[in-house]
Amino acid sequence: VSVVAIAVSANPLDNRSDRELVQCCLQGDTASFRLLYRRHQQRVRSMLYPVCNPSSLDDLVQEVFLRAWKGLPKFKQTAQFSTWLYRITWNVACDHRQAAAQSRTRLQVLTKMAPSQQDAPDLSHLHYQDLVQKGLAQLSFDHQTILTLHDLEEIPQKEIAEILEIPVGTVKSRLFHARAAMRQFLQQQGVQL
Amino acid sequence: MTHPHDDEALKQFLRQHRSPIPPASPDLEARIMQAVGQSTTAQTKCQRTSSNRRLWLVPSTIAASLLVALASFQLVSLRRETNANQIANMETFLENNWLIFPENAEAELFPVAEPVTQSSTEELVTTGS
Repeated sequence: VSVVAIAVSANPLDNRSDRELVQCCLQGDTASFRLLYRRHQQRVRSMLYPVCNPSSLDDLVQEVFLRAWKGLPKFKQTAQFSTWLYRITWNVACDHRQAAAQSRTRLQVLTKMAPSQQDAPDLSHLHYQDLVQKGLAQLSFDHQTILTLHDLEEIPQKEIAEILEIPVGTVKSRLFHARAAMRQFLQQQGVQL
Repeated sequence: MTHPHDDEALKQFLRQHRSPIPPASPDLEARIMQAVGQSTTAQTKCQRTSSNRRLWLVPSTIAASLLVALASFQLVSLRRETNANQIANMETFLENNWLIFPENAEAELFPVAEPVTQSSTEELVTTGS
């Protein structure tokens, strides 16, 4: 019975590749775009979260997907849809960061959002979580982005280079310096890795 | 220089203690799809408007071309008429003036010097003396 239930509930469209879904989107099929959204929204959220105010996360995700929908006619079919989408995500994050920098500091945002992370917090875990957030926040935007994409989201270096439109060598260099800065911050806070 | 296992330890620490991503609000997907739908309608309207504009452009261009052609044709024919009139006037003028031209006018205008003869030379000499 469970097998039948799974078969019925499974959407046959889910098996289609991003490329096929994009083709349908280009013909005005919004249902295909919904599938693309469901497929990629979690990673888009993860990329945006470290660099934005949690209260504006949903708005930014909406902005990313709306830009993607509008930009689909210009999307080159030879490229990966995910890479293109993450590039849009990074642009939205940059825009948001510039706008937010004018009104308040990142640390103020972080201190506000930290206590609401868990209902029954493990104090040491919460402490480390706060340190990781603060550590990311004290990095430059480029280093923050590279650590989020590579070490947290596990996106390959080659793809990161395409997303950020920089050489792979620059990705490696940024990653090295970002990790060094993060490690130094954690050591100053008494964390032994 | 950092050791690869240092990097691995850092990655593990970051992943283990990264803040959980807050879940999307329940209506986010609907909001996005609504915005996408509105965008599609707007795009379609825009495309329709531009195609309508293009459709209006065709008869307007034809009408303008016809107007220009007609105007230039009239100008050319007017010039031709003017030229014909001018030539006719000129002919009439010439004919009229030709008739009133005096028959001895040529002699008056271009008097021919009489040939010098011996008798006239003698006359001159006599008068001079």
